[in-house]
Amino acid sequence: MLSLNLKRALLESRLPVPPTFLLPWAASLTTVSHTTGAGNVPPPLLNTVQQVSAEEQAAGSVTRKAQTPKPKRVDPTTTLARSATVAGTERPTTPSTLFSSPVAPLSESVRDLLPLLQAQGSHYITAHIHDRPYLITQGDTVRLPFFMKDAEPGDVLRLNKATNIGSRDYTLKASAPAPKLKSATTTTRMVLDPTTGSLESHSRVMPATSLDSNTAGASAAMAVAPHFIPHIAKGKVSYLDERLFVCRAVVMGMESEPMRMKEKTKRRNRKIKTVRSKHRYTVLKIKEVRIRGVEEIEGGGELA
Amino acid sequence: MPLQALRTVAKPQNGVGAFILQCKRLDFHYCDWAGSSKGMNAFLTKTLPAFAARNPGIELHVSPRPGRHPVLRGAYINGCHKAICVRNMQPAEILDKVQLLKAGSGEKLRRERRPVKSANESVRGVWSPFHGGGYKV
Repeated sequence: MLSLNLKRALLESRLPVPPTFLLPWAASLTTVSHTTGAGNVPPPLLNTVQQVSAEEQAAGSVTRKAQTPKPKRVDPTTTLARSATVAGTERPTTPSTLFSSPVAPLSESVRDLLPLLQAQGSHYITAHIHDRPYLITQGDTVRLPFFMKDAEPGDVLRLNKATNIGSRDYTLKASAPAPKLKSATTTTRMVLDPTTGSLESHSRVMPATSLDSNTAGASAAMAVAPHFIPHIAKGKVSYLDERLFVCRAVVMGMESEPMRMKEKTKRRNRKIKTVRSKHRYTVLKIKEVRIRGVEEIEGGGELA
Repeated sequence: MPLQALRTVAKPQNGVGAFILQCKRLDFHYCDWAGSSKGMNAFLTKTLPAFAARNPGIELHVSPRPGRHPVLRGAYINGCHKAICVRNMQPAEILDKVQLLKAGSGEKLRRERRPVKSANESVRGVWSPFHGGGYKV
C-alpha cells in the first residue's frame, strides 16, 4: 500500500526531479570499473527497454516486455564462470545518454564460454519480474503474486531482466551490483573547524546532495544517496545483458485464491469485524528459454 | 541386438507451442420479466457482440431462463463448469465476470504457496556426496 503511494507520487510528481540517469545514486554505478588493459574503449549502451520486435507485432499478439519501475540504463558486464572455478574479466561500462548505439562487443570470457553453455542440453534462467526472481526452465508455470490487468490470455511477454542463466556445468552471471549508497546523514563526518586560538571546535558536515543540478554533475559521482529513494528504486541487483538470451512467456489466464476470512476484534469487545480477501493472480507459462549464439549477438540482428 | 527406442508419449504443454484457451463455451441466461436481469439484458444487446467478435474461439449460447436470476455459465476443456449469478449487476460488472470466466482454467481454487511449478528434471542435477568437491576433513 505504501509502496503504491510512493510509486504514484514519484510518477506523478511535478517536482523538478531530473531523469533517473542523472540522479547521483544511479550515476555512481559508473564508478564500478575494473580496467583490464590499455585500449579498452568502454562500449556504449543499448537502450532497449522500449523496443518491441517487429515480428511479434506483426504476429498480432500483444507483446510487451516485463517493465520495471526503474528504467534499465546500465549495460552490465557479464562474467561467465564454471561451477568449479571462478574466472572472469570485467569491462568498464559508462552510462550513455539517449542515442542508441551499434552493437557493443562482448567480453572475452563470454565469447569463449557462451557456445559451451549453449551446447549443453537444458537451461535454467533466473528471470526478474518487477525485481522478483523466478528460477524457471522451459515449460514451467509461474503464478505471479499480482494480477496483470492488461494481459489477456494468449499474450506473449518477453522477459528481459535476468540475473543468472545456467546449464549443468556453466553459469552466466551478471556483474556485481554497485556498492550500496549511504544516505547523507550516514556519511556525515566530524570536521575540525578552522578556528583560531586554542579552542577546538568540531562540526558535523553532511555532503551536500544537489538534486537540481542538471549539468554534468552526474560525472561528479557523488557517493551519497539523495534524501529520498523509494524502496523500489534502490538498485540492489544488476541484470544480464539482454542480448544474450531470449525468454518468452505466455499469459495462460488468471487464477484466484480461495476466499480468505480474517476476523478482527479486540479483547473484551464482542464486536467482530470480518474482512474477506480473494486475490487474483496472473499465471504465465514459460514458452521459450534460449541462449543466443555469439554470431547472432554480434551480428546485431533484431532482438528476436 | 538392435537398439530399442524408448516408447514415450509427447508431454502436453499448452502455451509452449500453441496456446489453447481453456474456456470453450459460455452460456448466458436472461429473463425478460425479472428486474434483476436488466443489466444482463443491456449487456447482451450492447456489449456481447463486441466480445464475441474479439473471441472467436469461445462458443457463446444465449437463452432465456424465465422467472430466474440471470446466470453466466462457463465450460472448460477439463470438463468443469463454473456458474456465476449476475443478478442486479451493471453491464460493466457483468463484463468483468465474463473476463473472469474466460481467463479461468476450470481447476478448483487452490492456494499455491510456491510461484513456480515445473515438471522438468533439475538442470544442475541432484546433489550427491560422491560427486563434486567432496568433503575436506
